[in-house]
Amino acid sequence: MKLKEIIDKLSLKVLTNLEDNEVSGVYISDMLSDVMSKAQSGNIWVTIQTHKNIVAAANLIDIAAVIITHGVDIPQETIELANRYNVVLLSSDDSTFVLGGKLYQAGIV
Amino acid sequence: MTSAQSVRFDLKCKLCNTLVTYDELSGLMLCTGCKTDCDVYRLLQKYSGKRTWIYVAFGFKPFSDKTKLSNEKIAILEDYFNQRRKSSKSSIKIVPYEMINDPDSCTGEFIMDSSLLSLTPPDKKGLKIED
Repeated sequence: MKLKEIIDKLSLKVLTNLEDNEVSGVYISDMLSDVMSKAQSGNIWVTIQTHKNIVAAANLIDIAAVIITHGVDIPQETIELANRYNVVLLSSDDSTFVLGGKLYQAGIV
Repeated sequence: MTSAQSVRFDLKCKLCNTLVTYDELSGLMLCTGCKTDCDVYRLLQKYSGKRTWIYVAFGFKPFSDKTKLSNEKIAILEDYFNQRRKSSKSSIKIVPYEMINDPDSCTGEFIMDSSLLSLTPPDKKGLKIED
């Protein structure tokens, strides 16, 4: 499934430049070490972390997009760094739990 | 009050069970091109057109030959992460920290678990507290 389709289905807010990456699954974690070891290239990464080092981790694994939940404010410096490294940042007002359910319902596993 | 912990690991080949330890590695840092006179910055400039991003493998202080991560281990690490980037048209390159001209003033983005033990109230971090 393409990222744009998921954004439309789940009414996600796009915070950065958008690359319509192919999405191959979802990984939910707030620990960068966990993401580094277990997330797969092409996954959507769901987290509440907003520090700009999420860009370093997402770029390393080649994550399709990072979705930040709970409507948390994202620092501008994180958005700017993400744009430099072509990391797509998205935002959702849903909780991580609810968003995970919606992603599953959308057929992304 | 915030806390942070860098990411440490070893690598094991699934095919031959060879274990490559990374005791000398304190963590990986994404070069953000903070200093134009830095050799890592020059490498970033050289590779950016090819969408190759530069990460720095850090050791432990005091930096010395005894604690230095070998070029062979760095190459294995680079291969490991590039193999995981199957869907990507980009790649990463990992270089040793010795390439950084002034590590103490470098402002690259270190990959670490941060704020997991933070005592800062949620509303101060941007999290919304429900009524």
